[in-house]
Amino acid sequence: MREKVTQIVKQTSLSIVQNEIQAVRRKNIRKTGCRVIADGKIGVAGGLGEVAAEDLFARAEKSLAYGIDYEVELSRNLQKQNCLDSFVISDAELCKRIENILGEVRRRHPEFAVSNKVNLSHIDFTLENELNLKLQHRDCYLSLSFLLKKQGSTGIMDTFFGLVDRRLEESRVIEAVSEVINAYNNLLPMPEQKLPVIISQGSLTRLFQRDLNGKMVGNKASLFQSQMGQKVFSDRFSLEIVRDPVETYGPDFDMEGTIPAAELNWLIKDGVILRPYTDKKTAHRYGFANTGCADGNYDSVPSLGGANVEIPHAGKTLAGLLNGQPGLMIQIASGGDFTPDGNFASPVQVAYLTDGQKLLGRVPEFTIKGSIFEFFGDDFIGVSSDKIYVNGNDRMLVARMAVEKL
Amino acid sequence: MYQFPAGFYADVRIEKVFRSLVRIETGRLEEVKEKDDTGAFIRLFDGQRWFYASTTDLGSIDVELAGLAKLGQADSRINEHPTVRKMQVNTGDHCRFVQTCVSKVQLSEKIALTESFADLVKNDGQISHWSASYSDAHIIKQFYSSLGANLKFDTQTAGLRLGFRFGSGANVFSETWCKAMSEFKPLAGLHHEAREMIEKAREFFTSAEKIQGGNYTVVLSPMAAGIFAHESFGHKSEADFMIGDEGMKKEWQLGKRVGSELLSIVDDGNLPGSGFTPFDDEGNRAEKTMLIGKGILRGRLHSAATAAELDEAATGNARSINFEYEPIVRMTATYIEPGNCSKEELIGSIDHGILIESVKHGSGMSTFTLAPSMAYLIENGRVTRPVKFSVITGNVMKTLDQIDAVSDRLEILSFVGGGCGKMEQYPLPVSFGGPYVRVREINVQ
Repeated sequence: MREKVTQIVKQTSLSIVQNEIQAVRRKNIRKTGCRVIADGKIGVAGGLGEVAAEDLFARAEKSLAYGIDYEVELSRNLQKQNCLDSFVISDAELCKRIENILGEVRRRHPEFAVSNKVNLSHIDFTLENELNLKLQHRDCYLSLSFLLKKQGSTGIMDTFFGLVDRRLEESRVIEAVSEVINAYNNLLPMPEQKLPVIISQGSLTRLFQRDLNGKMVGNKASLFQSQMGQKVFSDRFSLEIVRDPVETYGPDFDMEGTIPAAELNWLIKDGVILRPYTDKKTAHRYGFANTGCADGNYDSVPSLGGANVEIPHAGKTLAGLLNGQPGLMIQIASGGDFTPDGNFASPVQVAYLTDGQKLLGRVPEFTIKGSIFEFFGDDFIGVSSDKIYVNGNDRMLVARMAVEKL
Repeated sequence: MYQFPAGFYADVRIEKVFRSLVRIETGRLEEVKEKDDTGAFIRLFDGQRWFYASTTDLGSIDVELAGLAKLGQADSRINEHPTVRKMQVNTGDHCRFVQTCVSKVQLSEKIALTESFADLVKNDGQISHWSASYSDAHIIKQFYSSLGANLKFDTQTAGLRLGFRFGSGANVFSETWCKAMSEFKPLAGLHHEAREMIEKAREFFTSAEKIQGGNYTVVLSPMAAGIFAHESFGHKSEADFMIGDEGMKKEWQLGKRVGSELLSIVDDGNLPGSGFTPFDDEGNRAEKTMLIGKGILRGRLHSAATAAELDEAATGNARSINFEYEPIVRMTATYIEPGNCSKEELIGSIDHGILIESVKHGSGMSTFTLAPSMAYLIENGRVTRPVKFSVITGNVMKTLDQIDAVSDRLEILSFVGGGCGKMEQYPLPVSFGGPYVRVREINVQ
């Protein structure tokens, strides 16, 4: 049986130095991967550019001899196409509009320099096989990554604005960058009272990437080994795999063409750990449900990667979760880590005081500490229903945690 | 030769890449891959702006060059532009791995080697999860420029990575042993080293205890010192962060004291290993660049553009992760230079401190952190018992000044399966290292 992966990336990339476009890069790269599956084994081969699929299939067939096990049912009888590529903008127009943004930011904030990248990416990804499977994902989106640096500061950057979107709202970007810079310039003393901490979900859910990995659980190596099926976290805490291509900027199928039933997306529900995340091989090997988390390069044997997880919100905005008090919104927290038993500590390089609607000012550097069982247990406040544009247009996690001045 | 458009500086970098990969996980062969790819990155400069294209169609390079020229404005005096004047015109064939090319080694040998390392961890009752992988890359680069550069060189790494996790539930400990060389053959002699690391990790798993946070005198192993040098100071030495910022130029003026006089940090792409970069991706030759010499800021890492902007010499540090990306200023092999005292002397004078042997990751802006994997308590001048904590952290510049002893043996570490990330470009192979380095008053959390 044969499967083919085709990935075409067309990208225009603008390099920004000191509020000016310093370089324009264009690329158009096609990658093709071919798999041959026979007698419970898999062989793979891949190539760049215009390559003959038959040659790749022949190479993949030859590599069956290595004896890599693949005793799974292939996905079949499904045709699906996600088309999210309606954002159209010429390179010249993109340059002009980005220059407008950079110019206005410079006019408003001459003491700050903007650098780094703007990428406009067209993605066309197809997975197909001889069992009537053809899944295609087409997308076009813009990634803005602005490093913001104050004149005279000795660091590489001082603060940041980043965004992925399928449109370019110039005035909204300018206002958001301005809000970040104004808040950065307004250094406040660290409030004396204990305030909720607002942080990106991924900073704390990354422990689940490691310890709810199906191989970890299957090999009895997970932190949560003895807690599977038990209530471990707050009633209000759940964790689900998200697949909506509109939200994730990725396909809703995995590298094995799996789109699992909706109920299998829940890894934790109402505080109870339900299941690990898996691909077909891991599910088959350890007797778990397949949650459709196969990953890998276009020319790799599909294997268990990470799960794109989110904590669902309960309908409260960030301001609602803060309930009238301010919170500490973490923007840059680099270098933190979990210990094997689930304790976490991280320095926070840049954080802002916020009322949930706007940034009020910057607070001095500090450290945060706590345990995964506390963050998502008694100390869990919630996830905002609104997306916070100044912080990457993400829904933010709010929790109580120990804050110590550096 | 390519049709370089008149009135522009232009260059073409062609990369021919061979790679192979073998991965075994908890006793099962999960992946075997061997591939050859070729692609080109094309740059054109009109004195104001750069224009880039990447392609896998080598027959279209002249068309791409002509297309890029339409985006710019020709300048008959382009070769006098300061940036262009920093471009060297190197020529010749400098390939050194053709005879020992990893593509000549049969995949069956690579699988057998990986299996022999997997044998060290399989059927170990205390190890609950493990993986063993082999990967290699032989990259031949050809570089042509409108100035006449006509250069061919290659780089090669072959390496092993052994990841293993002891225990279950809340009582788990993960560690990785990883080593890369420039050739395949020497890898066969590393079982002893890997076995030693596994046993050290086992002891750590069974007996490490939590330690009280606070300020300690800390000894960094060559790995920890190398990561510290790379993350905390190396990135600040990349001159692209200074472009157009007069305040930054003043702050980072060469000749300024930035650390203890025992501290010297070097970057050198000529060193064998995963940071080996004899020429950069602008065709400039790698230099040994002294970043800090005896505590004084002595140099920084440059591309042609940053060297021109700061009126300094190019250092051969313009690198890209592959032919899809433009070169930007990156490190190669970055290390702290050795000092005069022995490791025993360095530890012997500590009453109460910590030795950080291996590190999971590190970061460094104004504040640095290192997340240790294996660390040990030092009591009365002796390393006594394994201890665990989350991170050490501190102000970078203050910490550079608090280094009070550096041991006399340099160790450079090379790796496969990861690398350095900057902006959108990850992973770039680098190496790093140092001697044992003692630092006073480090905050342990």
